[in-house]
Amino acid sequence: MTDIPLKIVRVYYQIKVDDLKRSTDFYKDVFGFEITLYAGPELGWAESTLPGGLGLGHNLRLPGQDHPPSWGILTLEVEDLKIAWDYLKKKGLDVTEITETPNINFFNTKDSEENSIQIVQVPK
Amino acid sequence: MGNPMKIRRVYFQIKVSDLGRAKDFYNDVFGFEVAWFMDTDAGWCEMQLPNDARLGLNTREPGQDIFPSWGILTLDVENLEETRDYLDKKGLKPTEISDIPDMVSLFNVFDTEGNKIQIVSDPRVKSEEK
Repeated sequence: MTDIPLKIVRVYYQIKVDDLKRSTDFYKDVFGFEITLYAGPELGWAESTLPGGLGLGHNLRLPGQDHPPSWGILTLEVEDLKIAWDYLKKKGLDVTEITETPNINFFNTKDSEENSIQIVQVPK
Repeated sequence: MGNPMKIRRVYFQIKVSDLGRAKDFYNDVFGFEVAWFMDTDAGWCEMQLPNDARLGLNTREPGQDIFPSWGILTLDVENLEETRDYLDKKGLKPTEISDIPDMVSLFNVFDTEGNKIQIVSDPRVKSEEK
């Protein structure tokens, strides 16, 4: 297999929620998933830890945003977002522009079946 | 209340229209190795993710909607019945257990936000050995 320059740091699974606290409390209470980050409703994000160190990302639903019961996005945190973007672009994938925020930088792409994949990097 | 659920592995399931194509895509682009694949008729393939998690590729049924963000958090547990009893007592209204012989047994629940969670275990129903 050819060398893949995209270095994955962590895998997340994102879900949509209407109430961050209710959602994180639910997963802690029912499944025992510890809350590792609670950025709050203003940032619309919280994280729980799944077995094995995986992340469950609680993503606050925006007003009017659809929310099918099986909403979920495979999310890969990488070491270097630009390298990942260049690599996937060269592989022929449609990649969005990189969005930079104070807390997270990311872009989106899709797999061969049109499933969304989000590639993220925590700003250095 | 104690939590009797013993989670063995976490899966992220997504829907695919072409199992072979999706398998090749994730292997080629991201380097995920195939962890379980019988044939395309089985409608299911597992790719190894970091941290011993797996990406489950689930063939879309004819006519089934596919959203670009379709995905289900899936937890593989040691004891399906105990887990179902536990979640029932927690008020989650689990579905009845479905058995797919020789493949998997499973039920579904929903979290407080309406997200589906699928709980699976080794198949309870196995074909008789010939």
